[in-house]
Amino acid sequence: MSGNLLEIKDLVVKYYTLSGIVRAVDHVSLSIRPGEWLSVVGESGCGKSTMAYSIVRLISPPGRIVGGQILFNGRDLLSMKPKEFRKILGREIGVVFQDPMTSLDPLRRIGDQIAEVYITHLGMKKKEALEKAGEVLERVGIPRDKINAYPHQMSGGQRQRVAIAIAVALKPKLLIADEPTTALDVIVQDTIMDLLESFKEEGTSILFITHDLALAAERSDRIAVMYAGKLVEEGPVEEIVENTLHPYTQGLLRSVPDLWGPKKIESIPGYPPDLRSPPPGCRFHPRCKIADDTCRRQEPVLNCVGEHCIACHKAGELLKR
Amino acid sequence: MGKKGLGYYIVVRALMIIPTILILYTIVFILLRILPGNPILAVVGTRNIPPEQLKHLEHLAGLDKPLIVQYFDYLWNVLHGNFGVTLASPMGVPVINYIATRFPATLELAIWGFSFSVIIGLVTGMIAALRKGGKIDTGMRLYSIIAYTLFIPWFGMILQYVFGVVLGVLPTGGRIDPRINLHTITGLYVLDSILTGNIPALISSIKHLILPSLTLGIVLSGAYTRLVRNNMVDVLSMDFIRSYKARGIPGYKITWYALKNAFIPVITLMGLQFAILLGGAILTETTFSWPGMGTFIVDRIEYRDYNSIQGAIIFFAFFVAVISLIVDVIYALLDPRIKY
Ligand SMILES: Nc1ncnc2c1ncn2[C@@H]1O[C@H](COP(=O)(O)OP(=O)(O)O)[C@@H](O)[C@H]1O
Ligand SMILES: [Mg+2]
Repeated sequence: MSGNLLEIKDLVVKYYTLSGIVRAVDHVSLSIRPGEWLSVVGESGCGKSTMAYSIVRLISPPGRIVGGQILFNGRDLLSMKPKEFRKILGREIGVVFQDPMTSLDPLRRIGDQIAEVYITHLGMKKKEALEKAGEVLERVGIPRDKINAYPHQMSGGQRQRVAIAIAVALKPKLLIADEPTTALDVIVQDTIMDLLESFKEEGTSILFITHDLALAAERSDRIAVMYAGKLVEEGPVEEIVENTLHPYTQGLLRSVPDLWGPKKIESIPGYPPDLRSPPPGCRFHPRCKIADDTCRRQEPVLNCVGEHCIACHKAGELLKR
Repeated sequence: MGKKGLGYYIVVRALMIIPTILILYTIVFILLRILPGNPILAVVGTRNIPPEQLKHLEHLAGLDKPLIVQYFDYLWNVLHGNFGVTLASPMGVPVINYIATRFPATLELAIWGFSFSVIIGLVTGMIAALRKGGKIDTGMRLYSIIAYTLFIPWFGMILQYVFGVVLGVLPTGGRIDPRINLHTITGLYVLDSILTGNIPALISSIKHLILPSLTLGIVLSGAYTRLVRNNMVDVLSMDFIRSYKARGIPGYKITWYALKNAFIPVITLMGLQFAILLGGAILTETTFSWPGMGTFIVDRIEYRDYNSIQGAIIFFAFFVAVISLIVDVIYALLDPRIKY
């Protein structure tokens, strides 16, 4: 239809915990075009990972996808049979997780772990698959002979490269990366971002999840900002950075540490709300400087001007300024 | 990889066996001398024997020597592979002759009991973990606690009663039907039956093995059920399992990888459990009149047969130490993260 690779429509995900129902993702709609880099940004606990894992159906109890649709190339992922869905997982959609120290099997050689995706999805013979594993290792910047290494013999950065190698081994159309650099130091972080970008250049769409708006702004085509389980602002990266509308996004932008000037980490006061009982009205209002009575009572809906969408009662005023 | 360190590790571990056995021998030696009576008195019993003749018999058995001399004499002999001769009826038989027939019996029981315990533990633990939080999980956890606290003679007797007396399908004692002639090669009856193509002996020896090894196996399995379940639950919540899922790896393979990871700590338990088998085997053997090392030691205690008891225990301890060394080496080889 619209030429989107992935379309998330009205997704609702809840965690049914003993202490209450966590509304982790609350009616979120998003889409990614082929070859596009979309970053989802927001503070920790805003539902970014939950949203991303819903795409690959990795939500396990007490979590449950309660509503919505996720279309991939027009096919609904959520209603697919497990066997059918597994053919897409790892082949057309690759996932990279946050912590490279724990995302590889400690007992198996990395070559075997990479080769496994070729064997599983393409039915390759072991020898041929290992050959391919060596190639993809080199592609992510690790010497081919590391194929016989175990995960514990590599650094965090190297392990994340291996995890990326496995995720991209079959040239997926979509690569989901959930804070892939958060556990790494800054210099390594940059090289991993370069690596991800190189796959984008080869035509892979990237869904990049981060709490770091500045990091996202460097590479993204579009940015979606999530707050307390909701999408609050979304648009092309220039729009988001230069024509920031939502007070939350503005706060995120300001809380970026300035490497050159004197440090001015002006973070947003307060914390994201407890998603078992989010505040009424606009969920951001308790932390918002310009909130008024409407914000406290009425939930804002997402409105778009061109490609730039925002959920804020004050959007009109902000636009005028 | 530090594979060159493995040889060093083995040597150090092997050397540590020596003090272990020395301490055990010393304890057994002291305990035996503290027990009232001695082998000669035990044989002679209440019969009236002139004191001079008693002295003479004690002299023949070397019991008139100072304890410290007896202690080192026996140690010296053992170091030369000589476990001494029996001191009580029948007297003068090399202890090693007894060990040669009794040890395979215990080994066979241990192997079967051990296999039962590991298999039962792995299956129950794995199922519990996969059904975490459900009724089956609760049931398996209950099983592990009950199995763990079962007392071998008591549980063995229940099995004997049910399968031997009520149902009458399985023998309740011995290793094989005494009417069957089995040519022994290794002393492991099942193996010997297969090697000599003796079908009746094979059936009979397996039937005799079932109850005692199941008793031992179930009692020892409780610890495995618990450990496997808990490890498996931990492993299943780990990131790499989620990563496997995200790569479209089939579920049964993921379960297998999880099991492998959960199994690593279990290997350590296996080493420990094999030592516990000594105690378990003695209780099981006496319950099922199993002619192994356990019943041998118990029999010989009545005769205060110092040499037999010391010899049997040293031999058994040495065997257990070697097994646990082998288990540790396997552990080190299986887990690539281990550095020696
Ligand atoms: N397994 C879980 N059980 C209960 N609550 C969860 C679970 N995982 C996440 N949550 C809750 O869901 C909300 C969103 O979490 P998450 O998606 O991890 O956010 P983010 O990735 O943006 O940090 C949080 O409030 C978190 O506490
Ligand atoms: Mg997250």
